[in-house]
This record gives sequence, structure tokens and C-alpha cells, in this order.
Amino acid sequence: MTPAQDYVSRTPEALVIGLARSGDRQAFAELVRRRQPWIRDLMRRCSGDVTLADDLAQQVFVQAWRTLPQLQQTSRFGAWLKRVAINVWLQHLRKSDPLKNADEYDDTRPAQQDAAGIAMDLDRALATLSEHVRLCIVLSYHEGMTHEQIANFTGLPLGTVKSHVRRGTQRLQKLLSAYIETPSTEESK
Amino acid sequence: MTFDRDPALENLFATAKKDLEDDAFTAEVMSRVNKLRRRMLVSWIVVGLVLAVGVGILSGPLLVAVNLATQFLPDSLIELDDRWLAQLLSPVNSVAGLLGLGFLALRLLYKKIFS
Repeated sequence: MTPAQDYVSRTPEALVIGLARSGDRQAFAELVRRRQPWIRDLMRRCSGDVTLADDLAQQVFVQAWRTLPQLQQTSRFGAWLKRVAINVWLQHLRKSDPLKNADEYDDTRPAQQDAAGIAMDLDRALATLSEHVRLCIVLSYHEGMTHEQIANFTGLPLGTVKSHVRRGTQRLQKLLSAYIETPSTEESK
Repeated sequence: MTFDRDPALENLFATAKKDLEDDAFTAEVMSRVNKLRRRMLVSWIVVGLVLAVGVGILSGPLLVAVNLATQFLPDSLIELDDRWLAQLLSPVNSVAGLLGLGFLALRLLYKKIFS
């Protein structure tokens, strides 16, 4: 790590964002380093595909680099980046095959004990949901967003968001019943 | 109607959350950013060159056209015998005045239609 990189890594985020906004590439790289686990994880939940998720996450950051000068308040960076990520995902959905989403989930499988196994099963279950239902579920459960926030971020009507979350929840409850009914889920945390 | 999140599913999502290692991710993003910067720089250079060549080629004929146009701009639309009256009305009683009024009328019309 160069002294400059070391300095940037210890700099408060608001200052790093300010530097990145003015075109400092080292500061932007530091922002990517700090935010990449979150954005990649979000994209993995949305897509269920590690390679695609990483490619989309890279697109999110490239888009962020291009539009960062438009960001007015540095304190809103997190929400702004999430909006960029959702837009990248929605753009991807528009380009992708809508009938591709026909994965089957074997709900007789026993519950996994480790986080990686749980994540894999969760992604499999999410993959059975239609794309917009999956997005609403991910934003609600993974990001902890309210229905109003989801509607605002995705441009979907509030009623549609509510019904997507309700329908998605019911489907996940059915598919992941092995986890929901087993107390070992609590224990494995 | 409000719909609360299922706590069991919430737990499951929280358990599945992973703190991913950077690996080469940041380096790949920065490589894409650098490519984008280079492409933008090349685009600006190309646009600048095209503009410079365009101005170089068209500057002669453009100057002649502007000269010709400006010759007619102060011409009166209606000839007035009274010198003072002609001077007073010259902002509206001229080709330039007519063009200016036409522009304002078009702008007003545009605003009425599209706002």
C-alpha cells in the first residue's frame, strides 16, 4: 500500500466522497473498497449468480464514477449508491430474457447449518420468484427498506410493492419451511 | 394494510449476508474507470478536432453570410419621412426588429403549448 493509499484509507468517508467527486481516482478506489461487500452482496441476492453479480457490481461503480459529480450531499452517498445499483439491476432485467427465470427449488432438502449453505438455498428460493417480486423481497429483507422506499427507488406503484412483498414472503415461507420451522436456524447464527 | 416482515425470513437473510473479500474487485473497477476516462478523453479530442476543422473550412463562407445578413438588419420596413420619428421607431421598424419580435412570438407560443 502506498503512503497516499494508506492516508486515504484512514480518511473519513465524507472527505473521501468529496475527493472522489472532484475526480480523485485514489479516493474513488477507496470508496469502492469500502462499499464493494455491500453492493456485491446485494447483487448476489438479486441475481443469484456470483459472476453476473460481480459484473453488475462493477457496472454500478463505473456508473457511480460517471455520475458522482451530480451528487449534492455527501451524507446521502449510501442511498444514492443504492439507487444506482437498483437502476443497474433494472436495466439488466430489461435486457435479459424474462422467461429465463424458471428454476426449480427442492423444498424437501434438509436445512443447511452453515451460512454458505443457507445463502445458497436462499438464492435458489429467490430464483423461483419473478424478477420484480425478487427485487422487492431483497430490498425489503436484505436492505430493510420500507414499502414506500422500495416504491420510490424502483418506480413501482406502492400497492404493487406491497403485493410483491406479501406474495414473495409467502412463497419463501413455503420453500424455506425447513429453516423457518427448525430452531437450528437460530442456533447457526 | 401494513405487512410486517417475517422475523424468521429476516434472520435467514441476515445469516446469508456475507462480508466479501475485495480480491481483485477494486482493481477491476478501476481498470474499467481508467478505460472510460481514456475513451472520454479521445471523444473530446475528436470533437475538438472536428470543430476546429469545421470552423477552419466554414469560417470564410460563414463570415460572408453574416456580413450579408447584417447589411439588411438595420433596413427600415416602412420608409418614414420624419427623421426623428424614423429613429424613434427604428427598433421595431427594421428587419432586425421584425426578426426579434418573431422570435419573441415563437417563444411565447412554445411556452403556451408546452408548459
